[in-house]
Formats: sequence, C-alpha cells, structure tokens
Amino acid sequence: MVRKSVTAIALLALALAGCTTTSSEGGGTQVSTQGVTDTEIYIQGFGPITGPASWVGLGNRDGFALAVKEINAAGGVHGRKIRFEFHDDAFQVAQAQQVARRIIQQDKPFMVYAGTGSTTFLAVADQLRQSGLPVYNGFSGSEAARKTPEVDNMFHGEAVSTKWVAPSIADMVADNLKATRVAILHEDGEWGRTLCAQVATELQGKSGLQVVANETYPAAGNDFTGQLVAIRNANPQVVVNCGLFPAAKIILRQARELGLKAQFVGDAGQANATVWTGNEAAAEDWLFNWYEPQFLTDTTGAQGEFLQKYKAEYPSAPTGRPNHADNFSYTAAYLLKSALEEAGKDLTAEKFIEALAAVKDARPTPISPNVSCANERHECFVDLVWMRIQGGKAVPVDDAGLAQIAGKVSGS
Amino acid sequence: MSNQTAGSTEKAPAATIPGPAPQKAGDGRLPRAARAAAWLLVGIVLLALPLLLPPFRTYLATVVLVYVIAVVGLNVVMGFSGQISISHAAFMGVGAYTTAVLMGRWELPFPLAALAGVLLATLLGYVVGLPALRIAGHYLALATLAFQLIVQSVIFNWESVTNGPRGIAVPPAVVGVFPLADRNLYYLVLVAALLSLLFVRNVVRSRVGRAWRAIRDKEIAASVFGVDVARYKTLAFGVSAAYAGLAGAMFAITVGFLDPAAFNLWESVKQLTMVLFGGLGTLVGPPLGATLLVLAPEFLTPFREHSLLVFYVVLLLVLIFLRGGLASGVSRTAAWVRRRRSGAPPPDAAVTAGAVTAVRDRPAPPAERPALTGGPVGEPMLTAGGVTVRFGGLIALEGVDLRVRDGEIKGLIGPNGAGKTTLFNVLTRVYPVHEGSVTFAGRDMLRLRPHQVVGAGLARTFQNVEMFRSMTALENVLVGRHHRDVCGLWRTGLRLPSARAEERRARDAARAALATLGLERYADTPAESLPLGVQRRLEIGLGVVAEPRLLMLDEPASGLTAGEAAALMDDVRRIRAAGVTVLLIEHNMRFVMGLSDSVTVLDHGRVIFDGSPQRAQSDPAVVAAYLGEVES
Amino acid sequence: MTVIQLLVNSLTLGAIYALVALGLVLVFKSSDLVNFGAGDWVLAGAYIALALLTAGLPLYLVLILAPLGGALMGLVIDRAVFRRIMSASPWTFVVASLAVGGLLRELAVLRYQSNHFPFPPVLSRDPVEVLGVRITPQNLWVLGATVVVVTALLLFFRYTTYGRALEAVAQNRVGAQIVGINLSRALMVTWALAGAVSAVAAVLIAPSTDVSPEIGLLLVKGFVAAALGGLDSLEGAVMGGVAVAAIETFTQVYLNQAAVDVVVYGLLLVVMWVRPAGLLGRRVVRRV
Repeated sequence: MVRKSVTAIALLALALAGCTTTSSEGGGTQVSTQGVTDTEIYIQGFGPITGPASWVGLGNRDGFALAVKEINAAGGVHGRKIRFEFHDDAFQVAQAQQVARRIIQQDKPFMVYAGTGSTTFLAVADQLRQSGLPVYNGFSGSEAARKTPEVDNMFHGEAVSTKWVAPSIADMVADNLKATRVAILHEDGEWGRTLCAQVATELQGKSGLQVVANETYPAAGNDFTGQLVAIRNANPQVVVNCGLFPAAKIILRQARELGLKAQFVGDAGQANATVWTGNEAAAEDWLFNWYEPQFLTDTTGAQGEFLQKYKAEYPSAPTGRPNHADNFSYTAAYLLKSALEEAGKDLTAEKFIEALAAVKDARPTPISPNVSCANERHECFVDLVWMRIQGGKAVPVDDAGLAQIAGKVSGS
Repeated sequence: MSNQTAGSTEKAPAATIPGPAPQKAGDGRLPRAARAAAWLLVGIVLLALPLLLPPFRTYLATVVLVYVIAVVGLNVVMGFSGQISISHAAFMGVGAYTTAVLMGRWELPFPLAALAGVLLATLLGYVVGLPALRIAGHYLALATLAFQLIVQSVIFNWESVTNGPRGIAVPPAVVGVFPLADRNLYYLVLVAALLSLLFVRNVVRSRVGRAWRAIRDKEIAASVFGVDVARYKTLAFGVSAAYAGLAGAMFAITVGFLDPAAFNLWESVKQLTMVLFGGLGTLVGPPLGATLLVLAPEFLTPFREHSLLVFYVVLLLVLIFLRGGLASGVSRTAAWVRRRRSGAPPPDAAVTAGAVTAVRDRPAPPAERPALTGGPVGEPMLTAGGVTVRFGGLIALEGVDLRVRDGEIKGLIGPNGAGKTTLFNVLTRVYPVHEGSVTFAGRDMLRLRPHQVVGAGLARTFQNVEMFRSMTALENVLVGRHHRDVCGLWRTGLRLPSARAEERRARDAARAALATLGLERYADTPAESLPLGVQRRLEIGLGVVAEPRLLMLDEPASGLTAGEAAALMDDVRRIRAAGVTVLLIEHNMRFVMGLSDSVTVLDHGRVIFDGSPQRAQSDPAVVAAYLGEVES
Repeated sequence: MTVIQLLVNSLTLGAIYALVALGLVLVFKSSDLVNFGAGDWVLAGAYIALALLTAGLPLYLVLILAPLGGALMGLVIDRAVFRRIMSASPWTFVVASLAVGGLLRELAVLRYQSNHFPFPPVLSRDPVEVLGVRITPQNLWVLGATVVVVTALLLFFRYTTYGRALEAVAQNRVGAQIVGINLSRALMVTWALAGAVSAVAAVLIAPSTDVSPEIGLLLVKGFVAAALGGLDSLEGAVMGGVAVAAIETFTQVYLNQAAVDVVVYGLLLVVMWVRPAGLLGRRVVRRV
C-alpha cells in the first residue's frame, strides 16, 4: 500500500538530515569570551513575537534594538559593535525550550536577554543559569524565577518580583488608604495567583483589616459579573486586582455598571493606557503600580523625547506602542552597555558579570528609574511608585491625591 | 459524504492501477531489493543522525520523533478508522503529566511512570471513544473537543498535583546508569517511534486495519460483513490515546518542563494539521507532516513576527493544490515519473479496457444442477413471520411472512417502495423490528447484533453498491472473511506466527474468490476506480467469501449492460451450485424470472404473492400492483 | 436580587456567545460545513470596523459598512479557498477553515499587532436601575440587536425561497442541484452572509471586548453554545449562548472559578451523549 512511497520516507530522513546543513560546530566547552570578537559583541534575546502575547516580545525586541542602534551609531562599546538577534518563543514552553537550547548549544552568544513572560521564562531559567552565559531577565516578575541568593550569571530587571509588589500593594491599602474591608480579585494565571496570594499574606499582618472576599477570574474572560456581584455583596472599601490589563479594563467597567463603588487598586501588569482609554468614567481614580520617573504616554520631558525617537525609528508602529516592554528593554540595553564598558577592553563574561553586579544607583537612560543590581538577588529594579487616573490621564499620585482617595475609602 | 474521503489519499488511483498487461502484486512499486536498500538507507541516516548533528539539532530531531509517535496514533483514529478526534493533545498531556508527577513526587523510575501514563491515557481514550458509538462526524468532533477542554481545565486548575499555570519541571530520567538525555534520549525515542510505526503498519495491513478502514469507508456495510463497529471504533480511540500517552511521556523527559498550554486545544489542532498536511490515512504522511510542522519555527525564523502568516499561507496552498497532503504529492510524482518512463496510458483507460476483457474472458458457467428448474429444494432455511416495521407513523412492513428454502434461488420483487430493502435490513439487523420473528437455520436472528449476522451464515449486498471504496478489490473481499478470523490487535500488530498464518489463509481464500469471479486482475485496484459492473461482481465476491449459507443480493443487475447482466446470472448460478442459497431483490424481470425457483411479491409493505415465477406473472394481484405503479 | 442581577448580566454575555455561535450555525445550516475559523471571522469583522472607524467615518456609517465589508470578505474567501477544496475530504475543510481563520488573525496582527483597541458603544454605559437591577442602555442595545439579527435570519431561512434553497443544499447537495438550485451561487451567498453576520456580531461585541486578536478565542464558547442548542438551529444558538453564560456565571458564584470549564464542557458531553443533535437541533445524526 504505502511501500511505494519509500521516497517519502527518504524525504523525511532528508528533512531530518537537512538540519545539518546550517549547523555550526558541535560541543566545545564554555569559553568566557564566547560571542566576542575584535569588532563585535553578540547578544541574543527571546520572547513571544507571534500569538496573543506578542506585544511582550515585540516590545522587548524593538526597544532593545533601538538602543543597540543608538549605541552602535555612537561607536559601540570599546570599538566593538553590538549584534542583537531575537528569537520567537510564541509564549509556549516547548518552543522556549527549543530557543534556549538553540541559544546555548548552537548560536553561542556572549549573553542572553530574556524578554518573555513568566511561564516561558520559568521553563528555561534553570537551563540558562547552568549555561554560565550572562542572562538578563527583562520581563518576568515571577518570584519562582528568582533565587536567593541568585547565581552569578543571572540578573533580573523589570518586572519587579511579586516579593516586592505585594508589600507595596498591602501598604497602599492598609497604611495609605486605611481600608478595613478589602476584597481580593485575581486572574487564574501564574502572575495573578502568586501576587494576590502574597498580598493576602501581607494583609493578614495588618491589624484591623479584614479580607472580605477572594475571587478568581479567567485571564482571557469577557465577563466578570459573577465575581463582581459576589464582591459587591461583601461590601469592601478597596478591591485589589492582580492580573493583566485586558481584564482590568473590563473589570473596572463592569464594576461601575454593577454599582460597585469600592476603590480599585492594580499592579503594574495592568499599567496600560488601554485600561482607561474609552473607559475614562469607570477608570477615574483607579490606583496602580508603576515605576518612576514618568508614565509611558507622558509626552513631556525625557519620555516625550523617547516617544519621538521611537516613532522616528518605527514609523509604522501601531497605537499602543511603545509599550512598557519597549521602555524597559531600551533602558536594559543601556544598562548592559554601561556594564560592558565597565568590564573593559578585554571583555570576558566574568568581568561583565562582575561589572553588572556592581551597578548601584544608576540611571542608564533619562527614562530609567533608579537601578541597583548590587544585591544578593541580582534584582536591578525594585522601586515602585503609585499612579492614579485623573481626568482620563495617568498621573503620579501625590499626598493630596492620596488623602482625597483615602477620604473616599473611609467614607464608603 | 464523510465516507468517501479519508482513504482516497492513501492510494491515489494512479499509483496502484495496473496497466493493460496486469502484473503481479507489487506492480508500480520499486523492486524489492531497491525498497530494502531505501529502508536501510533511512535506517542508517536515522541511526547516524546524533553523531552527525550538534546537540541542538539532535534535540530537535528528538522532538520531531516525539510528535511522530503522537500523530501516528492520531492517524489510527482519523486516517484509518475515519473518526475525528480533537483531543489528541489532551491524551498527550495526560501521559506527560502522569509521567512527570510520578517521577517527581513518587520518584518512580521513568519506565514505570511512562507505563502508568500510557495506561491512563489509553483508559481515557476508550472512554472518549464511547460517544463514537452513537455519534459521528461534526458531532463527534464536538464531543472530543469538550473532552479536550475538560482535560486542559483540570491540568490548569488541579494545582496541588499539576502545579497549575506555573508548570512543572520534570526530573532528569535515568535508566540504570544511562541518563536519558541528548543522544541516549534520541535513540530511546527513535526506537519507540520506529516500533510504533511498525506496529501500526502491521495492524493496518491486517484484519484489524481492514476492519477500521471498512468502517471508515462504509460503516453499515462493515457491520453487515461482521465487523463489530462499536468495538473497533473504541479500539481505535484506545490505540490512538495510547500512542498519545507514550508521546506525552517522551515529551516530558525530552522537553523537561510541562505547562498546561503545551496540551491545549490548539496543540490538538496542530496535530490534526500535521496528519492532514502529511497525508491522512497513509503511513509516511503523518510523520512527514510532524517533521515539517515541528521544524516550521526553525524554517520560518527569517519571517520573524510574520512567521505565522507565512505558515497559514503555505498550509492553505498545500490543502488546495496537494489534496492528499505531502505523501500524495510524493507518490503522485513517483507515479508520474514511472508513467513517463513506461509510456503506459493514463489509469482510467487501463481500467476500462481491463473491465471489458474481464467480462469477455470469463470461463463458461458450470452445468446447471438438474433439479433446480422448479419448486422447493430443501427444508426452510430462513423463516420470517409477521414482521412489522414502522418509521414514526409510517408502516414500512406489515405482517410480512417470508420463507426461503435450503438450496433455492428466491426472488423478492415488488414495485418501488414496497419494502424489499427494508426487509433485507430487518433480516440483517440494520433496522429494529416492532413485531414478528426471524429464524435462520434454527436461530432466533432478532437476538443477534448486526455484526453477528454474517457469522450466523447470512451475507448480503447493497442496492447502491456499498463497497469499501478506498480499499483494493482484494482487501474488499478480505473484509468478507473478517468474521471467520480471530487475530486481534496484539497478534496482528506483533505479526505473531498465528496471525501470519491466518492472514495467508485469508488471502488465499480471497484470491480464489476473485478468480472465481474472474476479477483477479483487479486484486490491487482500489474499488472506487473500478467500473460499476465490476464493482457489483466484487460486492458479490465479498458476499461469497464470507461463506454464507444464504446470500442476499439487493438489485445486483441494476445499472448493468445486458452483457454484464448475463454474466451476472451465470455468477449467481455458480454460487448456488456451490451450495449457497440465494435471496434476490431485482427489478430486471428477465433476470429475476430467469433465475428464481420461487418468488415473493411485496406491495406497500405486505406480501401479495408467494409461489413460482410463472404463476406470479399471471397473478392478478401482482399485475395490478405493477400496473398501478405504471399508472401513478 | 443578586440572582436576578446575575441573570441579567449573563444575558449580555450570552448574547456575545450567541452572536459567535450564529456564524457557525448559519454556515452549518446552509452548507453542512463547520467553520472552525468562525471566531476569527468575527475578529476580522471587528478589525474591518476598526479600520473604518480610524479612517474617520462616523459610528453609524461604520455599523452599516462593516457588514458589507464582511460579506465581501466572505466572497473572497469562498473564491480563493473554500471553492477549491469543496471536493476534498471534510477534514480538509476543517483544517482549511482553521487556516483561513489563522490567516485573518495574522493579517489583522500584521497591521495592528496584539494591542487592544477600544470600540465605542452605540448607547450609554451609565447604568440605569430598574426594580433594583442595574443594566446599561448599551447592553440593552446588544440584546435587542441580537434578537433582531436572529429573527431576520430565521425569517430568511423560513420564508424566502433562497433561504429554503440554502437549507436544501445542506441536507442534500446532489438533490438540491437536481431541483435546479445553483450550488455555486448558493455557497457564495452562504459565505457572504456568514461574513456579514460575523461583522454584525463584531460591532456588537467589540464595545465589551475591545478589538484585539483575542476575540478569536470566543470561538470555543460559540461552539459550545451552538452545539448545546443544536448546530442547525438559529434559535438553539441563542438559547445555547444564554445557557452557557448563565451556567458559567452561576457555577462561578455558587461553586468556584476552577469548576466552570469542567461543568460547562461536561454538560456539553452529556448533551452530546443523550441528544446528539442538540437541544433544539433537528438534523438526523446518522442516516442509514
């Protein structure tokens, strides 16, 4: 029946064998100057650039690439140009594995920039640690992806770990807003589950405060009525939402529609203009975590200049870009550049790691928050600030604003 | 509609149809030595691969092989048994998570953990196969979809066991002193993949595989020829799930990290695409499809964020221009090259030419048995009494009595809509009976399930030739032998001596039956590319090879030319001469009157006449019934 | 009061599911095919509307033009793809319809990436309180429009020659041709109609979901809704959508979120087992 199509099997074997054609030399031990030539430093990144999470990878790729282009145009690092390549992991674990192996075993760059979400980063984190390559985790805020103390070659940038986000939220709710009845609402994904579990733990430590409801919602849901009605019935003053921006938007809107008047508080994963654009009434006074110094959409000052540079480089970038992955990968590239410079002309991975681990109170770019990688967890960003929506715009929340919102909370 | 499809890819007519000068089986294929050499080459390449490839490519090749195992299993359900499954990734997930959890939490060694994963997946496969007993097509697709979504939800939410959305790391597997990683792992998965493929190949070419394909092509006919449809459908789901479970176990130790998204609905769809992309119902197609789809991200890297766009375009082009998938593209090219070289005429001409010669060259019928010109011949063999069948408010049969005596040729005639075929369907248990009794050779037929009827000695053909269209003439006839043989999945899959002997016997009998009907030259031709006349005779051959005591033919002469009909009359006489009783529905009066020893006439679901053909022609009630039909 | 409020809100969600289900049912009813890309047809409709909106057209014009754009899309897809695989196996159609869906999604992503765009509501979102139950005019508009769409389709299939002809095609393609129905044209009309209905669904859904590639994910719920109601029943699609939404909401509230999918899909399995044609479906599942 099928024997005749031996040809097809041969084709299959050829397809497998065809892999050899582009293969580089196999094996070989880790050399600490791998990926460095007289003229070039080779950096590889990965993250999802296809599929629903592609905004993560595209942002990380394009922001980083913009910085690399500027750095190279300015003469590079000690005369070496940076070569930056970015692989797609489609936000799928198996493909992330494939990409990680490809980077470690085949492409052999000087270092790795991980611009991917928590699940995919978690899946490859140990492999990357063992590879000995310098790794900069530019986007996963999962506490599970961190180690205390962290191994030498692994560094973490944005997003800030849930370990720091949770106390920040708990402090806001208990100490600033002085809420006594709090509801917790979180997505069922890794980020939301972990964060809100930690927030709940933190809140338990606050006296006179009671968690009156704890609801879960599907990350890709379109309707959160059930959760919101349950919360409304519990009559909280503040609702802490742990999750991402698409759901956050619908939640704020439906809360208003259902007459749930509690104050909403969100994490930085929801810090996206989508939440309040076209949703201004429902998002008014919403409080969310962000990083100093400016919000993404701020067209003034340093952020305004960045936006102009970005639009010049990517004229066809759609609305919504640059997103916060663009912003932070841009800063990350400059942070890495400064460590490369510090490591000196005779660049090795060891020297670079040493230089990066010594960074303290730096601002690699004008849009960068305060950066310090010199801690045992190698966490370069930990500082968070609070923003609120006022008149349809994201503004930093000042003491007066806070007092006003706290007044509303205590009155409810 | 759903039946014609699947298998047609498997043997594009062009590749297997003999030329005008028929050759032995194996025509159109490479010579045996060349085939052996090709396999050897493939084997050497596969074995040498990790030595030639750097570690990353070896890993890729291992992942490819994992998916080969999965899609070979999916192909059993979709390609061979013709059922749809959108839950393959769920089974794979069950296998993978079971393996990972048992290794991680209970510290079970990999082989045991994998075995548990395979068993659990298989069990669930049987359960999911159950709806297939009641529903088919889109509805079955929806049921498997529901199962897929339930499994992915359980993996996602059963946090205490699966670690939920965070995913679960699989501990390194060690067997004895060998760490299962890199090259070792590649060889392990390679062996598993090759054995999987070999097992399915053996099964598909055996009695079991023919039963699956018969169900795929024509479920009712399969059941009438003794295939226990329910059992074989669930068996296909079970086998397929076992393969998915095995692939899942291999996936776990290959990738080393599991998360719910690796086994979600879109992964199931991806595997379905692999099968169709490669070639549904072929042995090499799905592995080919798996190879290309797993490697697709590598090939598509240059397209960066547009890689999916390119992928969908390519997929659509393949679906539009390469119907049977890549495998058919390969075999079509091969066939085209061969034709160019041999200068043979295109296949259609070859078949038609062959058909004409077949009719002409057939041996003359044996001498008639002298006693068979008149009346009853022996004891009553089949007795139906007071059979009543209703469809809703409509009465299709009402108190029908029928008696067929041993050794006679009995005609069953009547105007259109008289209930003749309904009666056949009652006798073969396709339709339920509301009142009445049917006894055949002393057995109460109404206690049997449809597939047990042929075993009781009763075989039939269908009004609109119900062939297993994608199967060759020989395979068709072999389905007729199904109920006589016993070897199941394991014996055929492992090619145990008993299975081989049984297969040999069955093939000899089937070839002999083809020879009797003068059809041996079509042995390796797919039924769908045979002319109608040949198909009719082939279907009768199918009935004959089942070695029934009573053969029921439903309008065997319709659509035949006068010459073909005459040849068919000879065939029927020859069958009776071999000791088989015949019950015949026919509109061709010359045909039925010329053959029958006695006739029963049905009209509007009632018997209006029973007696000799001569008397029937002058019976006023019969004449009125037929005249009435003419008037209306 | 809580229960009624939940019911009212699940009705709006049900309408969203029903609108996606309608595209599926419409095609199945008139061609016996299941469009596995139906979710992405709605997605494409939403992006067509978004493109028109960002081109500066007023909302009412977008509401009129988007369905026309959707119909055009249906025609193009029919010509370019579906027509060419009609004679292939139905599973080829399964994968082809998925691939067409994927292609539509990627074309949208090519232009808009995976960002979320707001889509303006037709009516106000400020809730009004009626007998202690809160509902927004926009939600009432979605509910009303859904009822209108379903009624129009029902009338089309029941009372127009063409509608009945389409249904005949689904039930027996050869027979329909024999009685003189132009099969090619019938399929063309089916796909154009499917495109138009998808776009209508899109402009109704988009204000609540935003315009993003994730709209395509609604397909799964649309499927469950259609299967529950009966793949060939327009009323069934609506009923199925409302039922799925209600079950989801109440399971979430009175059981927990983790149980929602298991309950909904488990129910689908049970219905498939007990009454394969769906609760309101008529089509005989297996013909002898």
